[in-house]
Amino acid sequence: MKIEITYPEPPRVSRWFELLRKVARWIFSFALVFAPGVNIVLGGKLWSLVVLWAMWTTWNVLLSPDIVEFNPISQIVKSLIHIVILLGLIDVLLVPGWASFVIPIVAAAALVAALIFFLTDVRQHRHNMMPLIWLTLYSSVAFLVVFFCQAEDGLADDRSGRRRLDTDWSRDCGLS
Amino acid sequence: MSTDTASIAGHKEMKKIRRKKATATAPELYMNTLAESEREIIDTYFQRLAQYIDLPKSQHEDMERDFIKALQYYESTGVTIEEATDRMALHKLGGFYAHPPLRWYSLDSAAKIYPMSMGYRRMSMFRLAVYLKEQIVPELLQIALTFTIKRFPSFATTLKRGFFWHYLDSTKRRFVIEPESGHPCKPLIVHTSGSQSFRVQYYRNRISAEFFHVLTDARGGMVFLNTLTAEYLRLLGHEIPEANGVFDIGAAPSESETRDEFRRFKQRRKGSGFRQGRALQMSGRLSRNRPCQVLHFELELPALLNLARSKGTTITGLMVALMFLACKFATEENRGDIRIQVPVNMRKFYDSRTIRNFAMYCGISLKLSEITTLEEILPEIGRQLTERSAQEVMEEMAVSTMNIVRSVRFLPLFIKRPVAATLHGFLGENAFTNTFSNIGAVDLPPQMAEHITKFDFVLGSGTVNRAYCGMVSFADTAVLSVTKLTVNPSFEDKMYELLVGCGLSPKVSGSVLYED
Repeated sequence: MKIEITYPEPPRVSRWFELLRKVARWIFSFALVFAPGVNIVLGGKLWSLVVLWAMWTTWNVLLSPDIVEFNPISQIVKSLIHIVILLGLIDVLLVPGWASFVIPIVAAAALVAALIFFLTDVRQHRHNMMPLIWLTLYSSVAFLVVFFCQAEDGLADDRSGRRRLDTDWSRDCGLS
Repeated sequence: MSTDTASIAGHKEMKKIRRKKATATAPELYMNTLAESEREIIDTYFQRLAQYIDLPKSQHEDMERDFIKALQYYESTGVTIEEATDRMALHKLGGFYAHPPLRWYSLDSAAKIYPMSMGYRRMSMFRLAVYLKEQIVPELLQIALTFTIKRFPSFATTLKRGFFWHYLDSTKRRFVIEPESGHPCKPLIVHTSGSQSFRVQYYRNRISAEFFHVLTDARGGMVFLNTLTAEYLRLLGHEIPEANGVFDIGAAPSESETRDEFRRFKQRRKGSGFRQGRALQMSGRLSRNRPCQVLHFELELPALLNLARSKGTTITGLMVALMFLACKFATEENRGDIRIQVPVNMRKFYDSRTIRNFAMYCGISLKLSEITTLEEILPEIGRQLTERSAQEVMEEMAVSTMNIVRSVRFLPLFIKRPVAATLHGFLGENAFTNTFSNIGAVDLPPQMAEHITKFDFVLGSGTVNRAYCGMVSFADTAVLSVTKLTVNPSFEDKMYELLVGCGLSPKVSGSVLYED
């Protein structure tokens, strides 16, 4: 069978990114089993969850670019969501007590960055509004959750405080 | 003193002229090369052009350059400025580039799966190409696309991600042609802002249009290609009427052309048609380049038709039977089913003007042991083709599609997407060995047909099937195109041998093997 070539010679395609993905996939697959295994054997805090989420973030944000809607705004929103969850996990599982202060700062910085991108080319980026709308929605939900949780805590503190006051007053009056 | 003043004034004037030259627009520079009488015509032309375009500055300038290049081409071929501006009459732009993009389109029910199942370097694409009798003039092809795209508003879109489904968002930009390079049907970049979901390419005497399946099916793609080619030929000075699948680019697009025709299938009854087991796959290591080769078997249509008639079957029946024999030869398995997917154009059952997806498919299946000789398998293939591509069966499948779409419509996309991608792997590609899509004969106005030699139709590759076949015929030529996903040449070698054995003597052309 003689083939007449009727297509131009294709240029050579660089495959470094494909190779990087392949290597990362192997490393991450290994860590997916190894990290929880070591964590279970050694016991203690659930650091392996933080490791797994950090790997997922790296894969999702850097090695597996979105195939639909890949623009600065969508990437900022995507990275922000991943990083906020990572910070939350570190706070809950490893070092507690700082996330409620840090996360709003990170989120505000990301929002400002997204807005700067938006304002650089409003005409083009008005078609990329959807991720910003979702971010607003997620933030609102997160705000409400945090607000109600803190209100509950405050109420509980308030109640325990009042009980303590009642006890102190009773003792002062020699009633107890 | 006065001499100094004059000298300073002269110097300032020179500086001003130099600055003006440096900031002169492309039309101004072009006009400097023209005679006085022509300059006036062009000046008016570009002033009017500015009224038709409301795009970002860089795109506006690029579009002006496109028109200048076309005018320069006309000038080089001896066409007068009046004639050139008449052929490129600006009313053909309509209001498309002046209006802001406001519309959006939900994906039709058949297209919903494509963005969910696509992956890195993997996309459902197809390509239609027309071969003219003369070399393509890129300058005019660009203008033809600029004029044609407004007639296809659902093509002038960018794929976006919603909360429940993907959708197509209108985009206004300069849609560009490009010289062919790289693999045919290579994935498009659809993720950037305003990116297009189709590409128009040229090479020697060939114009090809490659589409991401979310936009349209082969029938809709063919209408686009024919309309584009007709406009290109008009720019070359030929009189081409708007008929036989060539849209009038001056007419307003109708709602019926962008309608999701699957919505006509209500939840009348339980659908069926997707439950199929795994099919055998042809042997050969899957290539990293997808596709790794495209081959075209050019056949004489009258001879092919006569052969099919003499065997008591259709061209589709005959080609599917030959493919079964070639697939059997190309697999090392010794038991199992070979199943060939045959897309069915639903427009033949329903009166529809849509240029979006409106096709279903049927699976023609034979056990490996049943594949013996052409004469023995033809009756069974004919029977299955008649039964499984019948209107009732296709309708049931369309109802199934709608049932699936309706049942998952309120699931968020981030949940739906991984599930759909996995299911598509099981229900889609693994269920078939090969695909044969025959879009039949292309009918064109005679004034246009005389400038065309042939068409070809290439199916993009998937992930598992080693070959995909598409066929289209025009005038006395039928072209069978084989898209390959493996270096192993067994399938096409056997197809060639079988076609020669039937007395068809195909002329084979195609690409080099893209394998590194």
